[in-house]
Amino acid sequence: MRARLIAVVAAGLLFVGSSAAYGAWSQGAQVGSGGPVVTGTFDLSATWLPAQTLSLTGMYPSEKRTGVLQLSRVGNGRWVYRVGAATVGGGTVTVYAGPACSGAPLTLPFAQATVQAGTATPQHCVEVTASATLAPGQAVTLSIPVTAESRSTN
Amino acid sequence: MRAGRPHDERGVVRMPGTRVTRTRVVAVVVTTLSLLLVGSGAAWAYWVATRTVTVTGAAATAPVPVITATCEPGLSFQNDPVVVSWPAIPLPPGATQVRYRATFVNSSGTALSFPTAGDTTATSVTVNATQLGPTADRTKVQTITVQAFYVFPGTTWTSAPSAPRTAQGQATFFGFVDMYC
Repeated sequence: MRARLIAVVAAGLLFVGSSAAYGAWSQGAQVGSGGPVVTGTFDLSATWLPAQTLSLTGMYPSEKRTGVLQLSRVGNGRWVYRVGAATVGGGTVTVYAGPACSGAPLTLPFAQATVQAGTATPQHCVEVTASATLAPGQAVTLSIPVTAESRSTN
Repeated sequence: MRAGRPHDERGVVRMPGTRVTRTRVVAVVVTTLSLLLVGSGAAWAYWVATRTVTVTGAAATAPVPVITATCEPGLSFQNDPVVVSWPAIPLPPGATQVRYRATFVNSSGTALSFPTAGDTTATSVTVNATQLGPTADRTKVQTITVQAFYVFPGTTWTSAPSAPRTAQGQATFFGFVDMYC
């Protein structure tokens, strides 16, 4: 009986803790707007710019192809993001800090510590260089994990 | 045993009731704060989203030459050749050269390559019957194909053989062997 009471109280405290955390996050948003506490969603979109989509079709040995990857937050709140270690077959990949394939490349995995505004759309140039010994018809593949994490709105 | 402190039957000093109560209160408060902290941490952990950008493709294939075999036999008092020609293939990105090699395979299966030493950047080869092996082989039907070689700094791509053409030598009254296509 006593053990059950302790379990119920512990679960209740965990729930209250979670709610309090959400409350703190939401309260930050309310300070500026003065509006009510609202619910929200959080997701990440990672797409190629339409005119700069990366294509790895029909590559030749040592050929370079580039594309511009754009990230955007779907939902609510500010955010930070990480670009994970890329996996590439049939070549190598270089990711740059901005939309131009110039300057010092990022060292992957890369963590963007600067908090992004909700409407921010950071862009990264991605450059794939085919292997010097690429064979005719050989597969060329690229996989880049990107993770976004929410931050408080104040 | 000192006077003024409660003891049990084994002589162990017992803690006063007020102190026991205080210790329990502290334990409850610490546990409560810990649970609140864990709950807060769990709440933040939900606000993470991950996407993986994937692109798949493949290397190009080596373009295959399209060849033409031309023969102009006549009364020239010489061994009239077959001329095998093809349009130049544009240099692929990153390639330094495109080279070609023609292969003649006679009806007995004997294969000969032209040029005889390796390959060429030219877009034609001229072959006389006398270059087709022993006298007995010079009048056999020859199946002709051409392959292209794309030279890159780190590798060389070889195309598939072209669609074949045929030619055959015919002996003339004067002892020459002219190639007919």
